Amino acid sequence: MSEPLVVVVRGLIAFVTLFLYARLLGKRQISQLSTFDYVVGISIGSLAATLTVDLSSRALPHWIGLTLWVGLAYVLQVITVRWQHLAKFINGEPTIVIQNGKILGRNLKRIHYSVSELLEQLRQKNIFSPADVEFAILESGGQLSVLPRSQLQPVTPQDLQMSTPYKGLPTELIVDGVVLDRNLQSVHLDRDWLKSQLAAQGIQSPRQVLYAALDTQGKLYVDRRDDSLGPQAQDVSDYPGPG
Amino acid sequence: MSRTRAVLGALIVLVLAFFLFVMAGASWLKRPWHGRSDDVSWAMNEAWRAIQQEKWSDAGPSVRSLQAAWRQVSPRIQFSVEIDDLMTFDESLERLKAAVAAKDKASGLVELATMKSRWRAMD
Repeated sequence: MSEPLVVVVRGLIAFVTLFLYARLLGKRQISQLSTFDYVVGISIGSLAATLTVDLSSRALPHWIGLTLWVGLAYVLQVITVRWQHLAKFINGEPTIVIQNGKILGRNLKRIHYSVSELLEQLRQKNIFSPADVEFAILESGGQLSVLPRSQLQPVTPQDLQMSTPYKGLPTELIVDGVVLDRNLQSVHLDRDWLKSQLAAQGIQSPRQVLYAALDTQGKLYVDRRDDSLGPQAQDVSDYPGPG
Repeated sequence: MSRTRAVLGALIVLVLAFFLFVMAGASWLKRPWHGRSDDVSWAMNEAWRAIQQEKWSDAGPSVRSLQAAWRQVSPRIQFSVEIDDLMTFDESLERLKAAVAAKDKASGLVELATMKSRWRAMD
């Protein structure tokens, strides 16, 4: 028996299986994970590691265990999407921890959250006093959402009754020197138009372009491969050396 | 788009089925593929008969053919069985060779019984 070979094969099985299952479980971001999701993730990772290196037991039971955990996590996901009442039980609910500048101690106690933890999270959001907060809500995933007092919120064009143009998503036309024809077609343009625009900026070929995108105002942003900034170039390094 | 998804889905199912075969295929993989040259079960029975009848001139070649068969089968099943089963089988095979060399019937049969038990466990 070649132990390294067996570990390689079992590792490949675990890796590819985990990759496929992760795709099945969807696009939830780490920051959105509930405590339970986190525990499930760790358990699945542990099962995959055991499947790879624990040669004292057969691979199949570990693989079945891995599949079972992923299957149950998937079922829980489906339940939380379809049945709101069960979702409330499974994921928990957001909790109001500050209302009109007042820390709600009873709520904090109920969710086992200390005042110092709350103040730390506020500071991370550049708020240094609970008095500056209209509402703070601890989300079920553990993040703190804060609505500052209206007097402390930044002024927006709407406050000044200013009209602003529509600003949607820019359309990428060149990435790493490659022209994205499908995107060009989606904005009803062609390569000739792109070439003429690039020529106007002194660029002979799309291959000289690192990134180009068209915004909804019709303005073309072009970033050349050439990084030289001329006299504007800044070097933030203080000392000579590798890096 | 839906055709691409269907092909992708089928590919995923195929990959997972292949993994299952690698992990659970020991009972099929340990069957002889090349006649008696990799028939471990037959070789064990031959060795058992020779040792039980104390035909030591037959026991030696039987054990050698058992070892040859095992060398062909063990790489095939190594991904789907426990390492302990493989190692126990290897150790018993070495002890069996010593028992045959010493013409020790009791020890030979004990080792063969152990090997048969490990062989059955490799499913």
